[in-house]
Amino acid sequence: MLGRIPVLGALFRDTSRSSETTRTFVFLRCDVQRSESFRGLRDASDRAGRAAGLAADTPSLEPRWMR
Amino acid sequence: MKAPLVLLAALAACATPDTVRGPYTSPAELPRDTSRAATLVEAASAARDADPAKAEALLRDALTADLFHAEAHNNLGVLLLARGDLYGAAHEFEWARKLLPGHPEPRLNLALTLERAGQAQAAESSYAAALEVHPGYMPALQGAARLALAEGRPTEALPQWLAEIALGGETEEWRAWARARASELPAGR
Repeated sequence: MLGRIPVLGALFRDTSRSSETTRTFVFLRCDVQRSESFRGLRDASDRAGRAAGLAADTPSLEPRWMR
Repeated sequence: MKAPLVLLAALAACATPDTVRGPYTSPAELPRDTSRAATLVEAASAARDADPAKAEALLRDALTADLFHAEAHNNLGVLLLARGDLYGAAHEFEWARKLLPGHPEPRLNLALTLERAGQAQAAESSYAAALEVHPGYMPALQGAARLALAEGRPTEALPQWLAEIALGGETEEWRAWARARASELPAGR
């Protein structure tokens, strides 16, 4: 309450200032697509698959429905 | 005088074992309408591609009619897996596996579910179980070989699996894949 008194209130107040900086990093990797039909996109996504341990040409396997 | 009777009745009701429903429950313990279930499963098969939600509802109805309809459990699991409900799918495949001990399909489907859940070792076991009940079952060979290579843990059986897939894989894509992977194996394997 005392801190709200004009002029004299400053004697009863405690003021502090701080600043914080946050940095956000965004990493971009360019891939030049030379084919007009963007066939290179397939290879670009296959690279991610290979990195995940799956060969690019691994066929899919679907669960079996029973009749 | 009435209060103790009511309490006794309530306790008796609690003590009466509620029907435990699980894959090991004897089918004789539950009412079953097998013909209605079969009709519903057939209808679900017809609706599967066009309307998966309807197919799912039909399969749930089929299981209400007959909780021990193994194909209904398996097929419901397939639909649940397709929409990413891995836990529900595994539960249904587990039912189907228990009800169809001689069939590899539920075991294969369980393996695929476990693989998607990141449980590679459990998936390996389920592929092995599928191959145990049906040696040479091609989908299980394909799944087991693919998993072994993806995990970087080629088993001793891998060259043989790849040779079998290269010859009799379900599609040309699988056969070509097996030939390519076999050619990459270290010499002597």
